[in-house]
Amino acid sequence: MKEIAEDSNVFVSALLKGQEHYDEAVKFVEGLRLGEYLFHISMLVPVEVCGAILRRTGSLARAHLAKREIEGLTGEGYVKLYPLDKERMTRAEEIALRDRLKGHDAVIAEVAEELKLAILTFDKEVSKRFRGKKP
Amino acid sequence: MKMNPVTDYVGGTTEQVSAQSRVGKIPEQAQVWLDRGVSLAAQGRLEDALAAFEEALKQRRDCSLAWYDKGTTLGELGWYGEALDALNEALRLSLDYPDAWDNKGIALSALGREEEALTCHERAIRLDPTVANYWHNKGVTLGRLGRLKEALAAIDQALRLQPELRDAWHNRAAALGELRQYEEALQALNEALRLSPDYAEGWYNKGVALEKLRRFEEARQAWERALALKDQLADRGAKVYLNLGALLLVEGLRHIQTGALEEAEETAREFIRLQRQAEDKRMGGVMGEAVNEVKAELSKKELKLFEEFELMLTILSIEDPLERWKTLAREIGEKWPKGLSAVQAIREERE
Repeated sequence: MKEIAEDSNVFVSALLKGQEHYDEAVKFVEGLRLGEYLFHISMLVPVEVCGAILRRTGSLARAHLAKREIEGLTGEGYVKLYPLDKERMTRAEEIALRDRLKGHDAVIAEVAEELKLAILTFDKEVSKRFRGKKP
Repeated sequence: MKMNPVTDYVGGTTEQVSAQSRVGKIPEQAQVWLDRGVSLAAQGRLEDALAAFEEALKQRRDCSLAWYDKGTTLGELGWYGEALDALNEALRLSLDYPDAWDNKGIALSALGREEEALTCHERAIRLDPTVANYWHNKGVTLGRLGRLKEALAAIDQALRLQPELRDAWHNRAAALGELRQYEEALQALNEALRLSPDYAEGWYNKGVALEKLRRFEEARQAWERALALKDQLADRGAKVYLNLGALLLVEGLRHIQTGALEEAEETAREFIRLQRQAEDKRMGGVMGEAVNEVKAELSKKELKLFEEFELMLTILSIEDPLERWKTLAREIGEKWPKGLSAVQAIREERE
């Protein structure tokens, strides 16, 4: 099983059929259920996914159902959640300063750095700037 | 309406004994067949009972009791035309035979001849005004004729004579419901259910009365109780699913309107459970009817919100997790602004 730190845009891509990265992202979701991967994510990720879906579609039901799907993955142990505590905050600050990442990006990247994992993201800016483990 | 029961000579009512005495003593062999017929009818073996009554009639053609028993059994079998012929024969032989008049009324009513039926029930009452069932049957017939206040008066008389007559309470409620007196109808149904707590039809109608009173949660509980007893419901089963389904859909819409998404989801899951139950009973189509019925009543604005609840129903009814995810992805994709990538959307969330 491959363990990966995951960025919010991967879940959003996997929930956007017909859009760029959908096929690739949905394969990761399939892989989670098949036990090929284990995702580690900051608790910011589900919040960003729901927020983005609600804001872009205007549909409460869609956002709620997306939230429920991600809860399903975490509840069944396919995805592990990390709260932002004081230690993580400190590490995220250091990453933000070191790699010149935006605050939220640094919080997401901190999980990867803490676990010494590569980060899975479709955001080129984050992949380029983050100096942690490369995929 | 239930036919007054078949009876043999020995155990018959005073009127029947008196009616029979006019045609003389029943020969022993005919009596044996009558006894056998009554016993078979009591066991629910109606066709065998009918054959026994025919045998009795072979022994004694002018036995009004045997014609009555034959007519009643034919009525129980649902063969009302033949029942009417036999009961007419019983009454030709013995005019003052109240059970026969009453059963003739029931047969006529089943044939849609309500005015003639009413005359028969009234005739039975004139012969014996102390029998609650005659009044009850008169009330039901009056109700079918749309004479609701008179129906209520007759049913009330039946209940004065026999307060434990469950069907009379039930039909009192039906008449009151027609008169839009739902609170009183509810009280009558509560009486019927006090007498028979497992009376599915009563629970169904209690649900209807409660829904009319806009006491939706209680209506739902009553219908759920009716469904738990659904084997008794016969053709009403589909109606219960329809009403309960419609109630859940309206409830789901209300939750979406107020942004109570957890509650909307819970209601959607309940609807799905009910739908599966209906499908198991081969009544799945009825839930689609419930959706159409509810949609037909909604304004444009409500319809838009109802689509959100329908989406919940669609997604949550998919059991395979990956299939569910992909269907949701299709639904989100359809609403997503063209040209906006997931990366951009998240980037904007972070700005």
